[in-house]
Amino acid sequence: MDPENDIIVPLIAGTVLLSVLLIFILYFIFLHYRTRQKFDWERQKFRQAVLQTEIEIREQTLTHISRELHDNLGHIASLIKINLNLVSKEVNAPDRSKIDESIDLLKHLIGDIKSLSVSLNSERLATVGLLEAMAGDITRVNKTGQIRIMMEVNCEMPTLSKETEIFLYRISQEILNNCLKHSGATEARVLIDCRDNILTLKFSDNGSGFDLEEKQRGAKGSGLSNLEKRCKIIGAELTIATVINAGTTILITLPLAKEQPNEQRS
Amino acid sequence: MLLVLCVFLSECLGRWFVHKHQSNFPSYHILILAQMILYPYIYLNVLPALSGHGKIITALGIAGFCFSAINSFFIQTFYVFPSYSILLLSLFIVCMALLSFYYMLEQPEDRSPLKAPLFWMNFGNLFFYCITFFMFGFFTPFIKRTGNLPEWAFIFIFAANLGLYVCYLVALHLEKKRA
Repeated sequence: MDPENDIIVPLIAGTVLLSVLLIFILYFIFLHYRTRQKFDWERQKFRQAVLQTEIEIREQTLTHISRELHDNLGHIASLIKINLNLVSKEVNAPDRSKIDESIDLLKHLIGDIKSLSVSLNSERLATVGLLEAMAGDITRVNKTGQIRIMMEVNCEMPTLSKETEIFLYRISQEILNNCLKHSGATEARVLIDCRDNILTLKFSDNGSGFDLEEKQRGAKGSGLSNLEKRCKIIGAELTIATVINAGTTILITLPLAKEQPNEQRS
Repeated sequence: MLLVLCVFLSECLGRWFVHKHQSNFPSYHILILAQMILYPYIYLNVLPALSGHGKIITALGIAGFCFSAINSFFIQTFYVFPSYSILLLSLFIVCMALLSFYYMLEQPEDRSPLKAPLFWMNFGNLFFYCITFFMFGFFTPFIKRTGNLPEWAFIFIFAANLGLYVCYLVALHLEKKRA
């Protein structure tokens, strides 16, 4: 072997070895990236399934409570009202006014039980549809006199799957509830629009607003996080714009192309 | 860190041997014996998925240690370069690195592999020990003919060592960042 070959052959062999090693490492990084993507996708799917089950269980519980309220408590309250009506005929005038007052309170209670039962029961959505159910809730909130909510629908409501309707209904309930409890707003507006195959739900109020970043950093089980999770499940996008002492606007956009045709409403 | 410390001590010991006995080969014998125990220990600790093969890896480590000890005492004694032991160690470490890569693919972490200390440790090991394996295989007829390696081969080995320790440094840095 001459001295020139002494260098050339190992140099070629060494280059080949290092190239093979480099190709192996690059291929490993590529494979790792693909496997990670697959894992992420499966993990996300699993999380969604868990979340959906969680929400289904919650819906079942709410429906159960709603039925109990309507059938049991509502029934008992009605019986009490009948009894009081009977008693009021047998007592003298001063006592009768007290009983009549109790009957009025009872009527109010029965009405509240009924509307609460209705708002908890998602089965009702299948019958009346999302818009009417939301309008019912808004009327109930307006009755408190604490806030005046206006609802505006700028399009014909598209057909949504039963599941999506339930999710949108619960999201709207959560937003209205938060508005009532925390915002201190006197006026709020709900705008429903449907353009370019995108359903938009816009909630705005003139309340105190909040520090969005602080809320997002906060507890994961917060209402905001629940809203985000629910939107994610149905493929909707949640945008929140809020300024302290200048109100809050919450925008939910749902691309309708992803929606499956609805089953017939009963 | 333990491994780097061990290598550093062995380098110091090598200098001392050169000073006293004109050869640093004994320090290689000692270092390989330590590495035969340290590498299986490190791999079993950094990759819990390997613990399923814990007994086999430990047994291979012990067998490698025993073979290296026999080699150092009876075959290629302390003043001969321990090429057999190094070959065995290279083979063992290349297999461990490939096995670790396999498990990194089986159970991928959320971040990029370039940010995983284990990746850099494996990359360094694969790079260095593949070159070592290649050098020994390739230069055996060379050494038989001329009695020594050509000058540039030492530069090659130096570069491989440098590559290995840079990879270890990155792995240690990433591990510290993660902790």
